[in-house]
Amino acid sequence: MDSVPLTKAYLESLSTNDLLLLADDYGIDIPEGLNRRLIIGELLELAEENERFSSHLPVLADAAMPEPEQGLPETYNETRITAMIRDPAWIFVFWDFHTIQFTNLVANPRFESFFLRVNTFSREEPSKLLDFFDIDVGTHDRKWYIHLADYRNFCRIDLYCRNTGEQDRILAASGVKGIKPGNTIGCKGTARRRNPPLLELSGLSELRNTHFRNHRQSFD
Amino acid sequence: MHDASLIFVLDAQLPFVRHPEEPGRMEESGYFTALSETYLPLLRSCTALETGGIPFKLAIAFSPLLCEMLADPLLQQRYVDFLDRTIAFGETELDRKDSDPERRAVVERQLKRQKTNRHEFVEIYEKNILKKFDYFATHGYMEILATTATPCFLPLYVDIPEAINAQIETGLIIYRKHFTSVPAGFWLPAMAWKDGLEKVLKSYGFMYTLVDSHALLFADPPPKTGIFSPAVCENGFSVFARDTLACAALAESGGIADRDVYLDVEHDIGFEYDEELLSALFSVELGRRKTGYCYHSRRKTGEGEPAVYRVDEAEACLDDVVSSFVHDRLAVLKKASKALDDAPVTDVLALPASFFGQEWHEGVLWFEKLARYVAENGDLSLSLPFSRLSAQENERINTPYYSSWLPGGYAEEVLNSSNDWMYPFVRKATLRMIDLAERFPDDDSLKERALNMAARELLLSQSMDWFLMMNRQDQGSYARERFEDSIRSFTVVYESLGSNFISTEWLTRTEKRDNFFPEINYRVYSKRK
Repeated sequence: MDSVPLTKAYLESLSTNDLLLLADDYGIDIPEGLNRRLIIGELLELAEENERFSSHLPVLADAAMPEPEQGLPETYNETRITAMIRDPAWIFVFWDFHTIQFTNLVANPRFESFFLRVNTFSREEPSKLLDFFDIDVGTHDRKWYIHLADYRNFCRIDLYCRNTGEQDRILAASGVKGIKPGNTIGCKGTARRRNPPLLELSGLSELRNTHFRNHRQSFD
Repeated sequence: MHDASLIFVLDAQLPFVRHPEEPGRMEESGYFTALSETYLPLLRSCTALETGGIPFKLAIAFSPLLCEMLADPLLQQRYVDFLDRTIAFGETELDRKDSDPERRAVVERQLKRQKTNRHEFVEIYEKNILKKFDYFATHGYMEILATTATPCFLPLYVDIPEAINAQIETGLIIYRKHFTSVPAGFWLPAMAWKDGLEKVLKSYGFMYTLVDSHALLFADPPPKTGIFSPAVCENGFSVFARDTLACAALAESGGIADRDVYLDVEHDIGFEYDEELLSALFSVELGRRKTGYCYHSRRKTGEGEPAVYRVDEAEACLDDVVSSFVHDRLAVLKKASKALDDAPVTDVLALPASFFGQEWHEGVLWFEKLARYVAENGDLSLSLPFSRLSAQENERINTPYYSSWLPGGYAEEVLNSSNDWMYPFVRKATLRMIDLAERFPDDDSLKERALNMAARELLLSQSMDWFLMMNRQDQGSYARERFEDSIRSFTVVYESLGSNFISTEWLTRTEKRDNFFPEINYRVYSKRK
């Protein structure tokens, strides 16, 4: 079960469909036609009960339990995408789906594919979108390495679902990731730059040569 | 030039390899080899320097996990047993080499070294060498840096500040347990830097850290003083850069540590003798390993056979390379000082502790000889990082560039197709731990024990050792086993807290197995209000 706390703000951020899925997860029977406000009310009531139950039990009781299963879970049953910076040019992303949501999405006869949208920004803080590009991923894919054309920018990766004849639907978004721009200009190519003497003595030329060998895609 | 200094910093770090239920594992032997080849010889050399009145200086960052292993009675006793077996084996090896005086002399020397290790470990250090390192720190010879609880690659967790806080706070708790000094410096595992860490580290009272040279040289703008002076971030936090070229001159192929007269530590009898002979030391079925008995140098004879090791030749070579190394560093520092109008200059050499002794057998002696040489020739001195903070003009920079000291310079070694499968688990467990700390802020008794267990296992799963070992064919299965164990143990606690039932038998067994950080407080994962 997803561990995101069921707060009012969180629940209000979910689509009605997600609220229904969540209610289903918690075993709440939602009659057809119940509006979102009431669904949220039901979920908040349940969260309050859970909180009382789990936080106020005087002790954790001792009980025999089977040995933990070998292996690790295949899914954590939540729709989420995470991005991590590997180096100035490559970002690693991994994602997971809420199982019921995934099943419903791919069972839709209009379902075409999932894709990643790589949105580029000039700053880490919220700023104007510079551009974006899309990468189609398979239904079984759960990770991807993304090459950034411009290492000086920041990016956010969104997980989307594409259905025929419908608007693309965003399922999850990563945080904004990137590396603050650095003095890496000159790593690419053989043109020699004159470095200040102390930087030269510090090994900047050798460093640039090494970086050109190892990361030639990454730098100007 | 009036003030030029060399700073040596050692990263004392080993994977957590305590297996109470399985004595004789290969990974445990690796830990014993580190004690025999690096840490005990290092203390021996430092003691000799102190006795000789040589003002040596050495900074060292002990991983809290290593501290816990060094202080663990079970591993202490197993190390004594290991030495006893090694010594008994050496006595029989002397007999076997009776007709080969050259090799017999090498066995004698190595046997004597093992006996010295045992004597010092048991009689002098009373099985805990950390006390002696602490002694050197309190007497001004060493500076012991703080570091994360487990060697966690921090840039990959900067978006989860609670994870970073928990690593630092638990690291500090363990530091205070083993050492009496107050750490001014913080060692970043793998020297891994991402902007923003300066704020976190300063908030814990640290004054400086160390990064690889490209962190400063690729900063925008780079400091005009290059790597010869610590740079200061916008918030006043200082950053030393290691001299990558000087470290390469020491450690890389063709460098100072790569001479053919040195002992070939890879040519160990543990990889050569038959199973029956070695059974006195270990079970070959559990994996061949180093024994500490190596008889050859890296040189070949005219017939193409490995030459027998000659300690006199190796030591003579050390004298040469010490003077040439100091000469080279001095030449660079003189140029740097001149460019800075005779301002004080510093050269930082940061290396894994395992380089000295385990990888380069003569490395510890090289450091001892270097300290003597520097003391006798007044142009250069050895310094501790803290003392150089105020001695030099420090230039302001925005922030160092994203970097690490791993071979690729960034995170490729800890984030690639062989280990990327681990991140969904470790990050999910991290988020769950934060959630648990929020949900159970004031719990005690069994719940607290379970939560502390979860925090301990989470910290262990974040250790970059497992991620790096996944890159190696021979270590991947062990790393996977350890990592999965930790994530599973964490998950058991997480789910138990949901159901309000836990097996105390399981909890006690897991606590006994992973007995590190008994002082841990799971609330280190709480969100800052």
